[in-house]
Amino acid sequence: MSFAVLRALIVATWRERLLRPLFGGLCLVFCFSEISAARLTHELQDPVLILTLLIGAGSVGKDVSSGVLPLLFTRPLVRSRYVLAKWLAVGSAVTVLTALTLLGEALVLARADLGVPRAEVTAAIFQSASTVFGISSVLVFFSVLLSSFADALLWIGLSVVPQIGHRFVGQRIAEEWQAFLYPSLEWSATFDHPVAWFRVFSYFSTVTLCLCLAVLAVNRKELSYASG
Amino acid sequence: MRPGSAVSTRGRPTVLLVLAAVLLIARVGTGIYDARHPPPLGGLVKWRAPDDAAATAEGKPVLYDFSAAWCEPCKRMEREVFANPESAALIDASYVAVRVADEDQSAAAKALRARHRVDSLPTLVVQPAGEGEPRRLEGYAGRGSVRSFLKRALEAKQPTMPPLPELEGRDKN
Repeated sequence: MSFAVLRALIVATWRERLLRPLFGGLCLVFCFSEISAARLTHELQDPVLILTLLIGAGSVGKDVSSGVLPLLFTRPLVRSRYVLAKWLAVGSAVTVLTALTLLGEALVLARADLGVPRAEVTAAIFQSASTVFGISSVLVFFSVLLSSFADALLWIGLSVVPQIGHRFVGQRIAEEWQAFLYPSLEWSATFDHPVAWFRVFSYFSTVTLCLCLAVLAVNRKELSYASG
Repeated sequence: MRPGSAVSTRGRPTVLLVLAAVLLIARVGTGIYDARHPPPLGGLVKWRAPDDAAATAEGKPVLYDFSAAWCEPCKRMEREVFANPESAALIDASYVAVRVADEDQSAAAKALRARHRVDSLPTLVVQPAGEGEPRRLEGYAGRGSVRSFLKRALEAKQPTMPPLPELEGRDKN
């Protein structure tokens, strides 16, 4: 029963996110432009950031501002499952799109006799998937706190801070800040001998912490049509 | 549904909370361990000093590593690239590696920093053997990006010198 609910929520989110003409069209245009860029630069282009922001923005906040969430929570739906479903839906949708784009790029490069080794393509897909699920967890957390698409704006604003402020707050703090906003696992840097356990734990602790905070914030939310 | 039998929809995410706490503790622990066990200075690469004149006389491209002891991304690059046997072997086989530490205030180090206009750390510069344009990589975005930079720098075609014009009549003067 619980998996059926989870699946229904994920499919509903996919439909809502990918079948909107504007956003779906933008995603497709962006994927094809990345494939063209790969042909020009002769290397794989990672489309993960823009796609995650396009598809992941307002995953919960849009439901609040459009009035869907108060209606949804009148049903016996466990709120933590709702948050997890949103995260999984955004993460899986962007991962599939990114993987297809990277495979398309690899194909284009191979046809131009600039073939990228299969291991490199696999590592790029792995890194993209980890980045997608990492950034999605942060976006879901922000989206629970803010309505509509303000989560993406907050993410963009906060990611500029370390670029400007690393001279004032120190390199280490700026790096940790960046690692929080952009959790990612690079295959060779993480899993080649010796395994970089700090990277592994940093990534998974950021993801679980963001999801935890998102669930706790949703649990505290009092929703009604009157509260807007 | 009978009164009192309803499952709370706001259940505390206990499993997620425990997992987050355990991972956070592991993160802090490994962070402290990494800080107390820094990689060997210089990693596995055979670095030359900036004033090593023989560095440019081996017919290999020269890899300059502009870094500093206080720079965290430099330390990460040290740990993940220069202390990695595969990467170190690639560098030693294909390049003459020269480290220019920020703490090094010798005339040679200053001249190299000025010549390559280094204003951020870490910066890698590959000076091809001969007359080619140097290639550079600023910042550290993971081992993969450094490795592909090093491979691209090797694959880059060396510009060929144009043939010297015939100096006819030179002997006549």
